[in-house]
Amino acid sequence: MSGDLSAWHRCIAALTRTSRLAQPSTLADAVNSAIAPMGVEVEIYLVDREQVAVRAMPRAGRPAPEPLDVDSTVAGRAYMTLETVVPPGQDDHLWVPVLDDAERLGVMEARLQTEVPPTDATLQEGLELLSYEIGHLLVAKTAYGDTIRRTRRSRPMSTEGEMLWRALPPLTFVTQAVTLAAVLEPCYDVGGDALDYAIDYENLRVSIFDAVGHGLTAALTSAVTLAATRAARASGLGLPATAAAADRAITSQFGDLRYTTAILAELSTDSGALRYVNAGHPPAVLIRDGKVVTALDASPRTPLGLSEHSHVAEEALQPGDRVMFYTDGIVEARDAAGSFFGLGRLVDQIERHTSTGLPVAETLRRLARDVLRYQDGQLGDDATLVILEWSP
Amino acid sequence: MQVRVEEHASREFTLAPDGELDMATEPLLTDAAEALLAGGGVGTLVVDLVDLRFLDSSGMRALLRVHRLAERQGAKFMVIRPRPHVAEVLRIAALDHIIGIDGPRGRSAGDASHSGSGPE
Repeated sequence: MSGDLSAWHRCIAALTRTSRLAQPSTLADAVNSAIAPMGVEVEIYLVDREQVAVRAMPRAGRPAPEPLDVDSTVAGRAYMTLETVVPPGQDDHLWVPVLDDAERLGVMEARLQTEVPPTDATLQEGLELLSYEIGHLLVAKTAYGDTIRRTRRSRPMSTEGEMLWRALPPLTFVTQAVTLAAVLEPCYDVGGDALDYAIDYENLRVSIFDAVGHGLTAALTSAVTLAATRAARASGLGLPATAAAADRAITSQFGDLRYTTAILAELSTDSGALRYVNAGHPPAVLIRDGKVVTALDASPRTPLGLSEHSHVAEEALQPGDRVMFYTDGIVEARDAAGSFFGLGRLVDQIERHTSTGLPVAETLRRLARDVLRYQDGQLGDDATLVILEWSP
Repeated sequence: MQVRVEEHASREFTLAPDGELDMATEPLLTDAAEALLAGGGVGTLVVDLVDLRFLDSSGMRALLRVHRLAERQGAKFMVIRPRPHVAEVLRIAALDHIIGIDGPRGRSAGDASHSGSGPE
């Protein structure tokens, strides 16, 4: 069996065919049926929204395994490092990260029922290919039932959280030229904060939003802002016209002076030219060689919904530069003594985590944990962080 | 939070919120402004932020609402003496494009270290 990758290809091709009739609730069984000829059984674990534990997908006739803590388990190590992990001293199973492109969804445990050792290169390559297929299937199947969604939740989602998460793009996105990663807290109750991006050829549009207030009211404002800016962007409008579309949508829908602070940005992934409109939002910061070199605070206008002409500011990125977008819930998280988390601490923590060589998404997971811990687990406001790296 | 109301000569009134102006406390400011403006005798309404330690986006919306109420009554409106942190929040939101703000409005928090003067 070792050395024969074509057997894996055949199994994955079979899965591609049979999965067309699978439901979200039968996906794990469909995977295991397809790969049975390989003498391998897999358990699919999905990370929960707060990225604290991975939780097993249900399988027919089997009790669900307990959730596994990300920080302290071998399963979690595969999730954090994005590398296949063979537990030391064990030769019958291994852990493989499961991603949808760059978005981390969880991990799978492969239990070996053959003599092939878990370190076998062909086995690991076959499992890696299988994990890509599973990642895509998980995303495709999520639309058809609640099983996948439920597996990813440690507790029920609020109405505002449900509305927001269904509107958000994947929180990690990587191409040859750019890496984008984001984190939002408190993940089951987040409402007013949002982010968005879209890449078309060399043009990457990135936005961050913070609608005034909290809860469902803020989420409604946020949803209107997201939809208005997306429709404008998709119809080919530039940054100022996109901002104007959001102004119109908010003021025509709500007459109560509500607004959304936002940064609407676009990056040329060829040249590194970054253009942005800042509508009353905390300025993004440019991080070069681990240090903040400038705040992108040119030409601010009032928040979206308080109609005003938009000025577009420009910044030339250098290869390797990172742009950090954030909402005030991050820097204004407060400890028991009332001190702010602050921008300085935010940048320090990013650099500290980055120096460990972990993926950007993992850096942001740890940072969100730092902010939550700073505020004793209870955020007073939505907190969102987006990091965009340009590495052509 | 409390809102102090002061009456000056020539139909000028001051509302001075202290503490923190956020979603929990914003009605105190807007209610005080409504009550004051309902009488119709206000020529100038000043919101004095000298004792305000924290302002978030809900608090800013409260300022915008008071501004709108004052405009509808034909009263002049002015925000004065924000502390450095509050001035920075107002500057980031570009609220000085809409509301007259007398006080530090520097390009960075570091520039906004002195407290502003009172109304002219």
